[in-house]
Amino acid sequence: MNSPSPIPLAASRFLASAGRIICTVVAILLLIIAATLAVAWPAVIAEAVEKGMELKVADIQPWASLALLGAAVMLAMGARMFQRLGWILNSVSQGDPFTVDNSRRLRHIGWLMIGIQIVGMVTGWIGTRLPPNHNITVDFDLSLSGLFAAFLAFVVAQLFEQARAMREELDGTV
Amino acid sequence: MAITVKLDDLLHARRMTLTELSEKVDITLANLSILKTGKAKAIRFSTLEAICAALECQPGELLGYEREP
Repeated sequence: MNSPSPIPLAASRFLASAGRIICTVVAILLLIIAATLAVAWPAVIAEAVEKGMELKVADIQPWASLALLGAAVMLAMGARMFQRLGWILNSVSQGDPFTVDNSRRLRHIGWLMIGIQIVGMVTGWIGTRLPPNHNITVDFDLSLSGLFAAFLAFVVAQLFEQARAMREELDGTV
Repeated sequence: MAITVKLDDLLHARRMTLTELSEKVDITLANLSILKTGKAKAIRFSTLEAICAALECQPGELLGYEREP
C-alpha cells in the first residue's frame, strides 16, 4: 500500500492551524471594532465631521457595526471549519481517517460553508445600506464555488462513511 | 453465526498447534485465532487454500453449517 508522503500532510496541518488562528484573531479584532463603533460612534462621527467629511450618524450606524459583526461571524465560522479540518488531518496522521467522527466533521464543514454563504449574503445586503463614497465598501455575493465546495464536503462525508463500513467488513476478514 | 469453523478439531487430529500452523501458512497468529474462535466475518479463498494445504484437508472439513434455532 502506498503511504501518503508526510510533508504535504504536515503542510496541510500547518495551514489548517494557521487558518484557524488567523480567522479567530481577525474575528475578535472585528468584534472589538464593531463594539467600539457601536459605543463610540458620536465621537467618531464628530471627529470625521471636524475633518470636513459630510457625515450623518444615521447613515453609518448601525450598519457599519452590523457589517463588521457579519464579517466576524463569517470568520468565526471559518475558524471552526479550520479547526475541524485540523482534527481530520490529525486522524489521517494517526493512520485512521475513516471514522464516524470524521464523516460528522466533514458534514459540519459543509454546513459551515453554507452558513458562511448565508451570513455573507446578509452582510452584503447590510453593505448596500451604507452610504457610498465613504471609503467603506461591503461586497459579498452568493458564491457558486462556495456552494459547490459545501456540496463536495457532504459527498466526501458520504464517501468516508462508505469507506468505514467497507473497512469494518474487511476487519473481520481472515 | 450459522457457519462454524472446525479448526480446533482439525489441529487436534493433526497434533498441531496454532503457532505451528501460523508458521506453515504464513498467516498471523492473531488472524488464525480470530478464525479459530469463530469471530471472523469472512475468509479469503487464499487463506482457505493455505490452511487446507497445510492440514491436508478439504474446505468442508474445516467449515460446517448449523441451522440457527
